[in-house]
Amino acid sequence: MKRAMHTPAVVVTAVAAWMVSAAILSAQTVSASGYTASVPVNVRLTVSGKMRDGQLVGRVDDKVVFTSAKGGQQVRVPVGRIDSAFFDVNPSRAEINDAVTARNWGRAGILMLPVVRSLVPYLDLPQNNGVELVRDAAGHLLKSTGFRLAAETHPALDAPAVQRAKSAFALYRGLGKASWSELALVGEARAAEALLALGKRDMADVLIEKMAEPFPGDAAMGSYWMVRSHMAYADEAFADALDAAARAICFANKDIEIFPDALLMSARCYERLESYYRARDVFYEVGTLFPATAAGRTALVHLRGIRDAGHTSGKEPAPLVNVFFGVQENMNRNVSKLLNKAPPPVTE
Amino acid sequence: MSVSPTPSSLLARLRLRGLLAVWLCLAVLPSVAPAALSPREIRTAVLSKLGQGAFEEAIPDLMMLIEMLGDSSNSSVQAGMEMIYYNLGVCYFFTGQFAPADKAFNEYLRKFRNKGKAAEAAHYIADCKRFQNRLDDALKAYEMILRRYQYGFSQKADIYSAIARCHLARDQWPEAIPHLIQVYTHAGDFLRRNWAATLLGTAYLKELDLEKLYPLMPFILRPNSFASRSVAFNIAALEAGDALFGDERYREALWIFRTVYPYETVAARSRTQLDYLKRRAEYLKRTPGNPRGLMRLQESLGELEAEVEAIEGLDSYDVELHYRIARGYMEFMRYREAREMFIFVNAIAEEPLAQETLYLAYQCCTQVKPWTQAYKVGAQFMEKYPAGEYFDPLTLSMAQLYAIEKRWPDLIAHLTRTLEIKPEHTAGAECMFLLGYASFMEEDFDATLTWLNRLVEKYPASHLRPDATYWIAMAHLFELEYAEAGSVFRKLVRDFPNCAYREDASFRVAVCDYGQSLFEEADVGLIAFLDRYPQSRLAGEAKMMRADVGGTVGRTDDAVRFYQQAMLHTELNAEQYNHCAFQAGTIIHDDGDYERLRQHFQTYLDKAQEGSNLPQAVYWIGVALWNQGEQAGALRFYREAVETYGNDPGAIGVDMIMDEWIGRLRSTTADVRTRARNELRQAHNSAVSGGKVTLSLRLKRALLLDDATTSATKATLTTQLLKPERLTAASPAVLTMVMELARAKGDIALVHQAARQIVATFTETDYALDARMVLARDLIEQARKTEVHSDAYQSFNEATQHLNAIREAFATSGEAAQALLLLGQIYSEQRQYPRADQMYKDVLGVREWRTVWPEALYGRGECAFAQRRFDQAAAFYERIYLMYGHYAGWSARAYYRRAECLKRLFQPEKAREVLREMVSLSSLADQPEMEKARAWLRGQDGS
Repeated sequence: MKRAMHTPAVVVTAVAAWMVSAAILSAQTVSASGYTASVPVNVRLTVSGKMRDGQLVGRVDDKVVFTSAKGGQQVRVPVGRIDSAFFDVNPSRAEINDAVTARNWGRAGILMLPVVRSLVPYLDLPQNNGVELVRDAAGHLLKSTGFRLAAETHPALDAPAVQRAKSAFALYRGLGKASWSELALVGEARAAEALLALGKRDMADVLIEKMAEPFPGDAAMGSYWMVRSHMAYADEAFADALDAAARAICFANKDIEIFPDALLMSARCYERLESYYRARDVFYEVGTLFPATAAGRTALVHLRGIRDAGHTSGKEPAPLVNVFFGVQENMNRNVSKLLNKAPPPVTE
Repeated sequence: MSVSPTPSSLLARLRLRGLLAVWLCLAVLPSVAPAALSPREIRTAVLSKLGQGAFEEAIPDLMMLIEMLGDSSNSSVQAGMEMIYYNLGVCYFFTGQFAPADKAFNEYLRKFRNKGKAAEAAHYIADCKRFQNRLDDALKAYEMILRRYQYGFSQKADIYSAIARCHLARDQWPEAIPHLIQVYTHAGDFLRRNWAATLLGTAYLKELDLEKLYPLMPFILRPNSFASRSVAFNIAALEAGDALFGDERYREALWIFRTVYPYETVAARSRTQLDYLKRRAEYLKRTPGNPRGLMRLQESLGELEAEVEAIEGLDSYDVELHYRIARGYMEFMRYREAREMFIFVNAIAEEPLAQETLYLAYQCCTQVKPWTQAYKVGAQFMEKYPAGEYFDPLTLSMAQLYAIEKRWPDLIAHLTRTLEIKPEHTAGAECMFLLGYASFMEEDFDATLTWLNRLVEKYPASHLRPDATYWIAMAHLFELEYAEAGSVFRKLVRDFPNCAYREDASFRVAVCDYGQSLFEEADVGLIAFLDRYPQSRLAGEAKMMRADVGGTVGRTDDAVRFYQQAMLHTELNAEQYNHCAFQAGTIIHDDGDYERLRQHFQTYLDKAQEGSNLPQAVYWIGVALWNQGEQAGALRFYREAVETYGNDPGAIGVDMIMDEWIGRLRSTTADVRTRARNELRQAHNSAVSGGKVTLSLRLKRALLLDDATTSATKATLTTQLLKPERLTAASPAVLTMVMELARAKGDIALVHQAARQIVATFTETDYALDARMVLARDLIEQARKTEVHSDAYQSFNEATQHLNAIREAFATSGEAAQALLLLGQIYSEQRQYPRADQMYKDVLGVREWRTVWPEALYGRGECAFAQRRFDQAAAFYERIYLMYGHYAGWSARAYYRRAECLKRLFQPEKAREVLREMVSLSSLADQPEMEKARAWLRGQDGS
C-alpha cells in the first residue's frame, strides 16, 4: 500500500466511457491499480459509533485511507463500517453568497470547486455533509453555461462554458456514487443534463436509460423527468415530452430550478400538439407566477403569439368529466390583462 | 381544510423563545474566579475571556475596571474605558441580562455618544427592549437608531428583522410587511432573504394579496427554504387556498395549494434543519468572535424548535392537499398532471378515497390519447378493486375505448374477463352487446349470436334489444343463413317499428329473400322499400339489387335500367358502382347492342369516379368498336387509351389493354394489322422523343410481344428494357418482363432489382405476389448454397419476410399455400421445428389447398422425425399413402420414411412389411424410393 502510494509511476487514468470527466478528475486524484490518492480532507468520522477526527488521504477500493488527528499510522477504514462523515471544509461562504446574489453562477461554482472536488472520492461515505455542497457547486457551474432544458434553442457552448459543463458533469457523476443519499439519483440525472449541454445526446441517452426511474417524493423526480422531456421534445415526440414534463410539474413543484421550466416545457408541448387552450393556460400560469424569470418572459412571448393568432378566440368545449368545480372564468380576458401589464425586468 | 394552530398564534408564541438557548449555552462556558489584580492584569483577563466567549466570567472584571477607572479624569484612561463600558453591555446581553445590558449600553452612550460603538450600542439597547417584551419601546428605539446612525446593509437587515418581529409578535402582519420588504431588500445572504420572503409570503397569503406573493415564489420554492419547514407559512397557504376556493377562484386556489409543502416534508425538513443549526451553533461556539451571528443563529434555532413542536401537534394534511391539487388539474383539463397526482394519492390514501382516486386517474387517462395509460390504469383498478364501487363504469368505459379504436380482440378479452369477475355487472346488457358486436367485427358469428341472444334473454327490457336483434340478423346474414336472417329482420321491423334500424332492416329483408333465390319476393320488398324510403342511403344499393334480380330472372332491360339508375347514387361504394357498370355492360354486350355498350362505357369514362376501372372500360369500348366493324378504330382507341393513361406506372389496367391490343392485332386483317403496327411504332417513337419513359417502356414491351417484330429489333428493345436506371419508371407488367428477360440473360441481380421494385411500389398487386415468390425462391437457393452462416441467415430472413407477406396479403391464394410450404422448409432447415410444423398445419387447414396436403403432411412428418417423435412421424407418413395414394411421388417417399420410423421404433419387421407393400404397388414403379426399398428388403440398407 505504501509502496503504491509513493511510487512515481502512478498512472493518471480516467474512466474510458466518460472521457469528458477526465480533466476534472485527474486534476484532483491520482490512481494506481486499486488505489486513489486525493487531496487530504479534514473529517470527523463516526465509525461503529465512535467519533474520530483526522484526515482522509485516499481510497483503496471500498476502504478509505484515514490519518488520525492524534497522530499515528494511516489506517484503512471500510466504508461499510462508517456511520457518518462530517467534512470540515469551509468554502468561502461570503464570496459565494455574493456571487450567487449577483447571479454570477460561474464564479460561485469556481469558488466552490477546489473544496468540493476534494470530496468527490468520498461522497459514498454514509450521511456525509458533502453531497449538498457538491450538488450546489455542480448546479452553479451548469447554470453558468446558460444551458436550459426548457429553452427553445441550444446554441453551442463556448470553450470556458464547455469546461464548466465538464466540471459539472464530473461532480454530478461523483454525486451519483452517494447511493445512501437521495441526491445520488439527482447526480445521475443531472450528469445526463450536463452531457446534453455538451451536445452529447448519445451518452446522455445511455446514462438516463441506465437510471432507475425515481418515485414521487424522490429529489430526482424533477431533474429526471425534465431530461426525459427535453429528449422527447428534441425527438419531436411531443406527447411523451408532455407526459414527462407533467411528472416534473407534479413532483418538483417546490423547486424553483425545475418548476417554472417544467411548466414552460409542458406549455410548449401543448402548443406543438396544437392544444392551444392548454398551452394558453400554462403559459399564462408561468407568466403570472414567475414573472421575473426567463421562463416567465418566454411564456409571455408565446402567450402573445397564441392570442394574436386567434387560436383560442372561440369557446373551448368542456368534457363531461369536468363538472366538479363548474369553472367559469374568462381566460382570454385574464391573458389580455396580463399581457397589457408592463413586462417585468428579467432577473434570470 | 381546517388546521390548527393559526400561523399568527403560532408565531406569537415563537418570538422570544430563540434566544434562551444562546444565553443558556453562553452561561455554561467555563468560569474563572475573580482575583485581586491590577487594572492592566484585569484588562488582559477580560480580553482573554471575551475572546473565549466567556461573557458571564468577564462581567465582574469589567465592573471592577469601571469601579477602578470609570471616574478617572485622565482622557487617555477614559478613551481606554470605551470598550470596557461597551463590552459590559455585550456581556450582560449575551448572558440574557437585558435590563443591566440596557443600562450598560445607555451608560456607554452617555459617556461616548459619538464614539465608534455608539451605533452598535444603540442597536443593542433596542434589542434589549425587544427581548424584555417592551415592544413599543423597542419599536421606537429601532426607528430612532435607523434615523440617527448609519448602518451597513447587513445590520440594517437585522434591525428591520427585529422591527418585523415586534409587529409579528403582536400579530400585526400588515405593519410587518414594509419591514420584511426592507430585510428582503437589504440582507445580503440567502438565509435572511429567504426568511423575509417566507414571512412576507405568509403576510400576503393572509391578506390574499396574490399579486405581491407571486414575485416571491423564487424564494419560497427552494429546497430547504424557510417555507419548507414553516408551519406558519404552510398553514397560511392552506387557509388562503380554502378562502380562494370558497370565492370560486379555483385557478388561484390550485396555485396556492400547490405552494403548500406536504406535512411530511415540513416535519422532516424541520428536524433536519434543527440538527444542522445545532451543529452550526456548536461550531460557532467553538470559534467565538461573531456574537451577533451566533445570536441570529440561536434565534432561528429557537424558532425552529417551536416549529417542530407545532408540526408534531398537527394532523397530516397531505392526502387532502394532494387530492385538491389533482382535482384542480383535472378541472382545468390538465389531465396528465391530474392523472399523476391521482395515482399518487391512490398510493397514500385510505379507502374509499384510494379507490375513487384511481378511478379519477383512469378518467383523466381517457382524455389523453393514445389510451395506453387508460388501459394500464384501468387494468390496475380491475386488479385492485374487483368489488369496487367504480368497477362497472370503469370496465364499460374501457370497453368503449377499445370499441372506438376497433380493437375487437382486446375488447372481447376485456369484457369476457369483466363478466367473469362480475357476472351481475350493472351494465351487463351493454357489455354483452359490445361483446356481440366485437365478435361480429371479428367475423366470429357464433360468438355474436351467443352474446346477443343471451342479452335478449337476460335483459328483455334493455334499450339495446333492437340493436341486439339487428346484429343477430346480420350475423345470420353473414353466415349466409338467409332464412334465419330474414326472419329476424322481419321481427325487428315488426317489434321495433320506431328503432333506428328499421329502414336498414327493411332493405335486408329483401336481401335475404334474394339470398334464398326468392327473386320476386325480393323485388316486391325492394319496391316497397324504395317507395317508403326514396331518399334512403340504401336506395342505390336497392336499385342495384333490383337490377340483379332483373338480370337473374331475364328482365335484362330492367336490369340495365336499374344498374344505370343505381350508378347515379353517390352512396354506392366503388365496388358496387363498378359492379353496376360492368354487369350492365356485360348484359348490353350479350344483347349485341354495341353502340349502347360504347355509350355506356364512354359515360363511365367521362365521369371517371374515384375507384373507377378506366382501363377495363376502355377495353369494353374497344370490344364495342371491334364488333361494330371498327377494328382499326378499336385498335387506335386502345393505343390512344394507352397514350392517355400509359405514362403512369401505377395505371395497371393499361398493361391489360396492351395485352388485349396484342391479342386483337393477331386476329385482324393484314391491312389493319400493318396500320396498327405502324401506329404502335409511331406511338413508341413519339413517347421516346416526348420523354415519356413509362409509356415508352410499355410500348417496348408490346413491340416485344408482337410476332412481327424482328429478332434484331427485339434484341435492341431487350437491351433498352434491361437498363437498371429505368426500373423506377416501369409499370409492373414491364418489370415482370424485365425479370424474365434478365433471368434469360443470367443477370440475377437485375431480376432481383426488378422484383424488389415491384414489391416496393406495387405492394398490394398480384404482380407483387409473383415478385415476392421469385425473390423468396432465389433467396432460399442462395442460402442453401452459401457456406457463410451469416449470409445464409440473412437470405433466409429476407425470404421469410416475403413469404409471410404472401401468406398474409394473399391469404386464400394458391401462392399462400406455396409460401407456407416454403416457410415450413426454411424453419425446418433452421431447426425451428415447432414453427415449421405450424406452417404445414396451416396448409392443412384450408380445404382449397388439398392438392398440396400430401406435401404438408410430409413436412409435418419430417418435423416430427427431426424431433425424434418417430411414432407421430410414422402416422403422418402413413396418412399420406393411405389418403393420397394417387400422388405417387409423395406416396413413395412416405412409405420409405415410415419404414425408417418403424426401424427407429425397434419394429424392423413391421418396417419390412411396409416396404413389401410399397414394392408391390405398380403405381410407384417409377419412383426413386423403390430401388432403395428393394435394397432394404434384400438386406442392403446398411442395417
